[in-house]
Amino acid sequence: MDSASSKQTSTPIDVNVASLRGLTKYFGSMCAVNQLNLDIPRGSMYGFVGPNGAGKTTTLSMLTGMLRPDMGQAWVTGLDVWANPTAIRSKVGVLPDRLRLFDRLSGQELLTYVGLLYGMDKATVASRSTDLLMALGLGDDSRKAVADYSAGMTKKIGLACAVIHAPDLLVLDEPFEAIDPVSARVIAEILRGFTTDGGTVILSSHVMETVEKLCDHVAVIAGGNLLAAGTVEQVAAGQDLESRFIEMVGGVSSAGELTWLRPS
Amino acid sequence: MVATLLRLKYHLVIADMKRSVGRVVLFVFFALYCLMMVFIALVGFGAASEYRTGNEHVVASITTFVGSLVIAGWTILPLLFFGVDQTLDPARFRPFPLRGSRLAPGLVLAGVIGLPGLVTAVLCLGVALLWLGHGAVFVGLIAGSLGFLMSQVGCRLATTALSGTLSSRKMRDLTGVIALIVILVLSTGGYVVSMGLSLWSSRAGGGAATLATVEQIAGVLAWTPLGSPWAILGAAGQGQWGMSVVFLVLTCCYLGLGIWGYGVVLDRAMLAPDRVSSARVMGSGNIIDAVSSWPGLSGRLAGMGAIMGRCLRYWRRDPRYLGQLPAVLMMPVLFTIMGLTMPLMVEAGGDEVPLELMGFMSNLSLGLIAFGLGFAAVMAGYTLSADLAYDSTAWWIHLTSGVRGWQDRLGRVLASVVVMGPLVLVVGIAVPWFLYSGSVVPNVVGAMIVLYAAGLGVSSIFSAWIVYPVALPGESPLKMRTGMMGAQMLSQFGSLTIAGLLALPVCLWAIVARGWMSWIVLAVGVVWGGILMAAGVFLGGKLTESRGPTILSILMKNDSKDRN
Repeated sequence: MDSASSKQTSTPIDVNVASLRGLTKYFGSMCAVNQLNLDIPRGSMYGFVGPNGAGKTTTLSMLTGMLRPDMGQAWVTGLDVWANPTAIRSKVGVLPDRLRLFDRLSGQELLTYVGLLYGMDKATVASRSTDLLMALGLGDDSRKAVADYSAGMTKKIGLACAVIHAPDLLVLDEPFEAIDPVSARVIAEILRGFTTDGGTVILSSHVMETVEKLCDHVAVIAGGNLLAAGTVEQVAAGQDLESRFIEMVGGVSSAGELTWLRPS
Repeated sequence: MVATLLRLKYHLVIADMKRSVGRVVLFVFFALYCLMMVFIALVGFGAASEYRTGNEHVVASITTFVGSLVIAGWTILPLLFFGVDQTLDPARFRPFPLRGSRLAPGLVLAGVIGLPGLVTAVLCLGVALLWLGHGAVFVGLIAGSLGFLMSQVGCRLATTALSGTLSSRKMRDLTGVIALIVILVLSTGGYVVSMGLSLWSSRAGGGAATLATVEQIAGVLAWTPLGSPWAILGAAGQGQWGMSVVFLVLTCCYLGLGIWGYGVVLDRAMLAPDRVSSARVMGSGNIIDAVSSWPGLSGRLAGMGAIMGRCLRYWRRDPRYLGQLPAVLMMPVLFTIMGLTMPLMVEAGGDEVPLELMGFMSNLSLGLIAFGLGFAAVMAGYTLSADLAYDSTAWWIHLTSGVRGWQDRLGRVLASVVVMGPLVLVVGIAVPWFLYSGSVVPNVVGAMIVLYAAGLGVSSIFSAWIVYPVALPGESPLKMRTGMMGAQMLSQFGSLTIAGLLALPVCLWAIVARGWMSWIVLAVGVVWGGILMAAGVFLGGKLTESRGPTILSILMKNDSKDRN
């Protein structure tokens, strides 16, 4: 728990690819994110966990320049996100949760679109989009409208959009939701390869197993407050991550009350 | 079960309304409006009963005719404008172990909770007032309730029976387009028909003939489910009590059959799997690639080209885009028809019309046509104001990719020029050519170009400033969203006024210029239009960039507001 506060002092840019300082967001009178401080070390696979409505998406949106914070700062690759809104764009890849895509484009067209918006040249966009569609198993569906994709396929094409411009930092909101085990394995491989080569991944999830298996760092957030942050070993503190998580956010007292819930 | 469903509907309607103050206010206004209309109608019915004596068969026929229209309307319109009332969507009862036959009566009756149903119910019962002071007035109450029930059964039966077909994306797009055509025809057709009728009846004394036709049609309708409830009343009113009983039995059979059939389709709808849409292969082309490869669109402009290509795809595939055409075309069509028919109307008035009046009328009709054209041009530009809102939350990628604001604006403007530009030109050339003289074509085209360009430029700024709620991607283009009216009216009034003022100098000049000056007007129109468009793209781009996160949060709010 104190690992979060002990890291408040600013650290050299080359160590941390992203830093949040006193980040706060209110929706009306409801405090969605409260005075959040967090450092994301370069090359880490950073898990962001918390119960539903904890403020994960809100925090990630403020980090990626999609939602203006009420107070505090977000720094990415040494740049203040809200002072240089366009400067960080090419360095960050984003996969938002529950936002739409331009779904009347085909998968291939959507990737081309995103690549060109990032200002990439055509030849690179073409070769990378083919690579991505193949790697993510969307090759056969690349000419179908994204509107006709299943939830898992939509997630995958979204991931492809997030990485096509080869960013330094990937911010992925629930990347494994609705993804089948085979695709999950492929995505995990891609992300591991990316971090090994010096890239950084921040991903949110509420499946502790995924985070424990994949991530080296983890931050626990509940009710807009950061409860713990650090390496997975530090946060888990000798337990498995799920038990430690439930202990921190306050789990169900006992499951033994529904005595009638038995197959008769 | 009936009471439970009625209570459920009541709670859903109330809860839906309570979500915002604006909604309550809107509801109250709408309710007051309905109350007033219903009151006027009821007083009308009562007053009409005074003149009933001796015309019983006329009253009966008209009741049957209009009543049939009401039932047909309830059956057909929800199919086109759907989403009208899915509060008690049968699909939502899937998890419960209920049979369609148990749900059917309750779901039919639940139609009465909600303003359209309530208004229909009161009006149906109010028909009895036509027979004040006659024994049939009590029959009217029975016939009215049966007629109302029939309208609700028709509505429920049709929407549920076709819900499987209607929920596929392709069908939804198709019904959207059909609905728009219906609106266009109704909005202009009503005027044409009434004009034609009044011309016809003033010349041939055809009022009696029209009535006879109505009576004939009503005679047939009386035997169908649409007319039989009303025929009970009509027959009773004319003292044919035997026939009245026949129609009563017939109506009850129809209703029983309808409710039974509704139960059957309900069962089918509740057991059917969720919509299975067959994926469509878009063809081998890549429109983004193609458009951004156009000469002059490579390099720094490639992002803009991509946006233009995407907009062109949406103009073609997303019915919400072409759905704006009726709004563009309605005014010029209406004004042209009015302009063309007005002299005819004056002629029909007889010989005593003075010559000066005739001259004034022909000038006025030209003025009307010109105004219609100008309005169409500026509206064609204004269609861009919903463009960003139509993206809905998919716009996030414009924000996170850091694409420049002017690229966002210009891509949309150019896509609109590709689609609407030729239309503006063709109309601007053809209408003056055929209706007046070829010599004023440059004036008209010049004025229309400047109005269109001003519309585009002003909308480029307004669409980043006022992002009003629109139908969401995949929804029917006609779906109205709450909160749409206020913001959209502000946006529309503001941008049309400003665009009109900016274009006014050229338009005024176009009215007076003749001969070679006409061509100068055209040239000035193109240049001034270009300047206005460029300024709009530049300022709108700046605004889009500075308001980016705010715009995204508005889009997110609009997306989630009416979704479940």
